[in-house]
Amino acid sequence: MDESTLLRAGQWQLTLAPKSLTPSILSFIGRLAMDNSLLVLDGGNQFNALEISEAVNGDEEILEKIRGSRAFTCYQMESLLEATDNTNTTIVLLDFLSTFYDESAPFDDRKRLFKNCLTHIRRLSRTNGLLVIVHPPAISSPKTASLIKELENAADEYFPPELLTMASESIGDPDMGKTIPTFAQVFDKIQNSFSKFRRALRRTDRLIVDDLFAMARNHLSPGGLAKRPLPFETILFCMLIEQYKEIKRLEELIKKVKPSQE
Amino acid sequence: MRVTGWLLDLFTHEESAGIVLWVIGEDGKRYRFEHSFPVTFYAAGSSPELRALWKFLQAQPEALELAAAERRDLFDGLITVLACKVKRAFDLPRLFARAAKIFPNLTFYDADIHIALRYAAAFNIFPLTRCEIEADEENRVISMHALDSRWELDPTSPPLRILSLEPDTDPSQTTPRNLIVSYDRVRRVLPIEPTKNLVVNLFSTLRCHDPDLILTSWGDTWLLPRLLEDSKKHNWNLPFNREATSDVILHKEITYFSYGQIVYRGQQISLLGRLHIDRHNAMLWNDYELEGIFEMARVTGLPLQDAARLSPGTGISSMQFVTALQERILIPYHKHRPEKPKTALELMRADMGGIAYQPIIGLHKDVAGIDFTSLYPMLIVKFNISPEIPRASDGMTPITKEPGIIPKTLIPLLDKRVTLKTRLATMPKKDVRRKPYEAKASAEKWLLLTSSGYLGYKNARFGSVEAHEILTECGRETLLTAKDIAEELGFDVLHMYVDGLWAQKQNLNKPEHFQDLLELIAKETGVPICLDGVYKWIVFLPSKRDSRIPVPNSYFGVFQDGTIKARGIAARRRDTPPFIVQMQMEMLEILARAPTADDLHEYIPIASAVVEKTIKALRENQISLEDLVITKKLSRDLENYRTPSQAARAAMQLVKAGKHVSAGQRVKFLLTRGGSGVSAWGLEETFDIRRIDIHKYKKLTIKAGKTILDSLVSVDDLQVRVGMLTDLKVMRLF
Repeated sequence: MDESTLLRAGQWQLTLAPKSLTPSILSFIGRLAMDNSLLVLDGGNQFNALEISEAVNGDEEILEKIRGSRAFTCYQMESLLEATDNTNTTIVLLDFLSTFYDESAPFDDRKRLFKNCLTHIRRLSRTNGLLVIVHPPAISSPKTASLIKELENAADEYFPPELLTMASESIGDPDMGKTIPTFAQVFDKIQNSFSKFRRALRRTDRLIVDDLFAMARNHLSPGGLAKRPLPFETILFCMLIEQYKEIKRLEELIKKVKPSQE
Repeated sequence: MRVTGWLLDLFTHEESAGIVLWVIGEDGKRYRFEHSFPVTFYAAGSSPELRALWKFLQAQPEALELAAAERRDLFDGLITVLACKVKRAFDLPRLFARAAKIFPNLTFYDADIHIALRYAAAFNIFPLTRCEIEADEENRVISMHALDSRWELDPTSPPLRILSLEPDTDPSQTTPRNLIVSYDRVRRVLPIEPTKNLVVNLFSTLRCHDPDLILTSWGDTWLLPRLLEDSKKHNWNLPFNREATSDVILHKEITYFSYGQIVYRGQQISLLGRLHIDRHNAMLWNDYELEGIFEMARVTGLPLQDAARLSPGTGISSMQFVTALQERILIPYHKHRPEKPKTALELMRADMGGIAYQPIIGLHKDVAGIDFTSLYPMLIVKFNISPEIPRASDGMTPITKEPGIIPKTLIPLLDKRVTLKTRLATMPKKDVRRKPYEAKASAEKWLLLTSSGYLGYKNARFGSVEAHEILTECGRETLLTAKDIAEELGFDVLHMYVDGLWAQKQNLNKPEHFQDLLELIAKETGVPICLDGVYKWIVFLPSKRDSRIPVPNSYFGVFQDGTIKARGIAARRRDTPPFIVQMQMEMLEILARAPTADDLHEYIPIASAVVEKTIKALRENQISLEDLVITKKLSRDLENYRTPSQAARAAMQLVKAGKHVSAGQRVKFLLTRGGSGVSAWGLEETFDIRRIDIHKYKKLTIKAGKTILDSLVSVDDLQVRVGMLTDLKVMRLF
């Protein structure tokens, strides 16, 4: 499915989805960014970049195209939208209502800020594709229900959550084309990405890690042909092959040393 | 009139033109002063809206002065604001509420600051500060100045008159029959029924003794509400307040989430001119009683009654407000500023927590426990971490030396605590200053602990998620540097957790052996570090689910001087029944007697015999019911349990008996046979001890015993262990 066609400037869309769909939503965001630069305004601390990274196979170029900003209060959410300019960027409002469910802010304030946010959403949707994703509150009340209702009435179009999940099924068939770097480059990148992990290890364990990566490098060419969506799986597999080879070697050695125990 | 004394309480009052101050005079008298103290709030926004606000405010009945002013917003620098100076502080909250409702799009500042903090910032007079007051014949303050500072290590304390009121039992469990009333050297037991007699008795005690502080047990949740109700019924107005024309102040109970935990805060009752502190509703009470509360009030500026019932973050934010007021930095009414956009990649790299370096499971001998002193607050100061401070491209280096508002607030607090700790380290054990010093250091530790987390809290006015991310990055870098140094010097780093590090090197077992390591780490990281001690031996515990997986901060060990240190075991948990706490501690005390780790094997059988002894006592009903009580927190409201936990089942029994329970409250119960398997503590006057579920308690006992014993014996020693335990006939226990 081509996600870029789903969101077009001129009308904004609303999805009401359970929170359990968050992984699919994040994958969807990742794939959206393959074709567009993206701005994610996150109201519910949902902008899990690692999950997005997985959806785009850790492609840093794509991850650089996704900018995000988190709002932790409804006052911040309003300020975020107010400060956002009309650009040619697709905008996703992640868990938009979460800060408006927070009862530590008076409802009058929440309602007023919510209305201001709606004005900004309309303004931004004129030039940008815009999707608002809303999850139901943990504890529902007539007040929160009224906000959701108002949002539904205001939305130009409803974006069924099924589209998010359907889209996520296309992960298994990535057409990476020529933009994908060689496996050797990917290998270097992945090994470098472990530098902090490696540094935090005890000295003895650090040597083991170096050995593991070194052994796996024996299989760069087959690794490139594997075309797995997550190259690290392949690297791990290469490490396993080498480990098992070593076990086999030692077994043979034991047989030679203690033939009587056969 | 000129009076020298200590500030006890201050508040705004409807009938006062200024604010009311209650002062304990050095001459023993109690004084009520009024001080003219106008307060100002500010508004910023578009000129037309500000003009409209000006007109609106001018038309209000409250006495006020309006002016255009320039003030500093922490992020935007100098801005033009409308300053509204309200002559009578009492009027500000209502006036502001009306203005904010009509002009919601304006940004307001300094609008909801506690009057005590404003006063503290203006005069440097904090609760219990010794001060000199000059007043006219109507007790109106002409001048006022502080004679000591909140950073004083040994301030002179006021001679407080304390009245203690204590019901003879916990009212949430059983209805009390008597009230124990004590003051000076008097102790009286007054029957609660008939209530009229009690009310009359208390009336005369309050009048004659005129206490400054009423110290109660369950005064917030039961005693005071009940006494007030009874006094109304009998038409005797109990003079709890010194401020005769006012009612006591009642704050309703609430349950809220804080740092991922459900917290219940019972109803609170505050007095005017006199203090009410409920031992069961006061922070730090168990460790340091009043001293900790006094210190909290002194350094934060919050009135004593508020300081006693502090919620996380309130203390540190109050201190930040005082700094802001004194530095003339505007305090926003709401935090508007959102996070600056980051790419997904930047977020992945920045959004990380502190470091927890998994320990190596099992027994280790001769291990140095090394502590960074108040690591995170120190880093805030060292790296000048404050949301308004611009940083170099590496993200960590501040590009200005002028301390930001967060470090500026922390510097004197850190200095005070370090000085107290240094003095404590060399103070003789019997020194009378020891207890107050420990109380102060403990209150300050609590404030410092919350200061780092509060930086990232959503409602923190001067918090920002970016500043918090920089702080965690500095924390990780500091610990990794410490580890690099230790490894370079040939040490094995066994564990790192938040601000602690455990290192070991063969044949090194004296404090002086670790001195070079400490000095080098302190030099390289720039953060003070100290040796918590050298353990004769220490055990890092595995996860309960998988014995191969280590758990951070879960250990027990013995220092060379025989002191036991344990974290994460049953004896340290608040829900563990007392007999199990006693058993684990007894086992550790036995093990602590081993001169070295190599001698431990001789003491393990003696320690395991304690388990057997405990089980025997259980079987023979030798353990008192009080020692069997389990205390657990209700994680949600009762109707939200699908499968009620033990605590929920006990709470249901309490509700059935007409008691009130809420999520976040702790419930006490016994494990019993039959029925729901639990019995709420204190519901039955006579409890048949035969109902105790010995089997369940036995299981708990064995589990707690195994935690200590299992890790002391490695797999290689399994043979030894089995033989040993069989000899002692305790194998059947396991």
